[in-house]
Amino acid sequence: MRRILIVFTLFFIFFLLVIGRLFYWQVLKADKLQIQAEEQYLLKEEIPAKRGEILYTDGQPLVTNEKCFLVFAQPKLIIDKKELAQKLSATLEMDEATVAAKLSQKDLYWTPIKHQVEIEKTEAIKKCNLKGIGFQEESKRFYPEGSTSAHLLGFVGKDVAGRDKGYFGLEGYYDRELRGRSGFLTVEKDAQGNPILTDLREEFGNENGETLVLNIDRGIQYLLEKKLKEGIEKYQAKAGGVISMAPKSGEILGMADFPSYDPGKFLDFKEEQYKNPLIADSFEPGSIFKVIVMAAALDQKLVKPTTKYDEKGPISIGGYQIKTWNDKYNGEITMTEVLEKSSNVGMVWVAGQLGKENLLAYLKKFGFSQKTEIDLQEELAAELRPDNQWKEIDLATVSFGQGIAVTPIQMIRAVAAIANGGQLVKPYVVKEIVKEDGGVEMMRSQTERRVIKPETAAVLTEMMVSAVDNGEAKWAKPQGFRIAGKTGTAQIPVAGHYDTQKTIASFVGFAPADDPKFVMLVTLREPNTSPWGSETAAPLFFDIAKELFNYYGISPD
Amino acid sequence: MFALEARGCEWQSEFKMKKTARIFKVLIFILVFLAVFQMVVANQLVTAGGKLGQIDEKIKRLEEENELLKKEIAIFSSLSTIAEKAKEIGFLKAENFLYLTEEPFAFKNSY
Repeated sequence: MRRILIVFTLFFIFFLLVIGRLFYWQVLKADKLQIQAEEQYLLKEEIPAKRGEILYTDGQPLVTNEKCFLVFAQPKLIIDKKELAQKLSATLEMDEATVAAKLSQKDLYWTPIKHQVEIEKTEAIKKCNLKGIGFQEESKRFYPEGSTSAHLLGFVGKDVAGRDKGYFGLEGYYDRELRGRSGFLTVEKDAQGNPILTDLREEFGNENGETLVLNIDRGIQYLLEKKLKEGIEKYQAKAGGVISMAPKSGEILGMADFPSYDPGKFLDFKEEQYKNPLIADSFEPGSIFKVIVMAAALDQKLVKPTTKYDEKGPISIGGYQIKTWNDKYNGEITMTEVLEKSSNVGMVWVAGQLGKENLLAYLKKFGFSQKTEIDLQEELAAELRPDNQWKEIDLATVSFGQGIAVTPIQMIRAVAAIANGGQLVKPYVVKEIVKEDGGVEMMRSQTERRVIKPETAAVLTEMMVSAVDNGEAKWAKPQGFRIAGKTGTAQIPVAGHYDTQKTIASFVGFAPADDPKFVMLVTLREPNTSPWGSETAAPLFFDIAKELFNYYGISPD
Repeated sequence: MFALEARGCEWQSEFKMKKTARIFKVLIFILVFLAVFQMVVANQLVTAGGKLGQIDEKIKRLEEENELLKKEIAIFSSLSTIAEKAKEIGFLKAENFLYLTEEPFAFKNSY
């Protein structure tokens, strides 16, 4: 009986041990084991979201995606690291020592060698059948037109977590829409890693980015970039920019500026070059601003095109002497002639008629104190100084566009209000956002407010046509077309004073004057061949306008 | 009378045994059949899994080729490439335009 009891006890202890062990594996370690088992029979793959494309208005890609790979190494599996480093460095165009250093990290199971490697190169590596080298799918931006439109587009970099993120321009402004959301694919696999047909296959969470269709016309954008590049070379300017906009809707038809950068190699450029100067840099507009001050005076019925001013000589205000651009004085001239001859003293008189309150009120109405809210990331508001800090000399100089800073986009929007009959419209680049399911979100033209009366706009348009036909730049104007415009030559403030040699030459205008298809602003920074807008920016404007007339099929009047 | 009853009982028990044996045989047959069937299906599934893997690979390869073709189309249809090609084959920029300011004669008389 005793023996039986001992055997029974031993069996009991043995069973307790077995139960204890089973409890350990099946209860305490259940989660870990389940994960290990799933790793063996489940294949989990990340499905990266495709970043949305950016298309011209005709559907041609301005930015698309290119499939590429991250080439990585598993150092513990590599036998001959030196030979592998040689082969990889040749194909990946990397320094051999850098590759060798990455491969010799013995304590690492996994180390990245190079990101965003093209398909052709990965295929070449795959053919070599190298042990310990793997590939992970990635995507990078591809620019079919090369490095053009960089400031308009922005670029795609990485955020702190290493994910793709858009910076500047459209990529920055529409990053959320373009980015999409990565998902996962889960599929059961057999011992050889092949998927099992009848079992679980789940895709979840994957949502590709949305596609942006722009108002940018491919032909116009190409033309602006080509002509601007030629213009900068011809007039030996340091930089230049041009914006073309549909004045009634605010659609941006084209936007170009140089120097620029390559969005595909943005790291090779300085950070200062990333910002779009047409929306983020302010400049003193010079004489192109005269149309704004004249618009205010006409709208208030303080002057008419025929109102005369006696241009006798320089004017002294607050200890400063204001002269005409060529220091010549024409005696009695009408307001139309003030614009034709771009008379600074004439404009000082107009600003005097208008008074501080009226002038500041119109500057604000034209939107010079606020952002235009264009759909590009880095827009800067060139703000006006506080009302109580305006002195008499400031009111005088602002009448001919000095002592005030505006951004090119603010300036073109204000002139668009003259072109479209007096309405301030919001400029916008994206026409529609196409979602993955085919749904389309249309961006609509937005009118912010009426700035001047339609009759004021009509009268000023005629004065601007006259300024083109009889002004300093009349020699360059395409014959037979009615173009409303104004030249500008602004001195650049350097260390508290104006540099007499350095200017920003500009021309702003719209055409055809009676039913404008486009309003356009051309600026050239520090042109060397001539400092004057009438000899540099204006001929460039007319050169582009001539091409635009052909493009739109506009015949002379 | 009793003898007849006894023979009847024997027949009944013999009949029951034969029936049980037949059912048993059928069950064994079904079991073997199902085992073989499972082996065949499992075998086919393994082959199909391999095929599915191959199809997945093929889809990936075709997608890659598609991407490359899309890239080539985008490059060749870019305006910079078109302008370059046009120049190469001797296209010139149209400089002189004739604008028709009046309705053409043929239009005026087409009733």
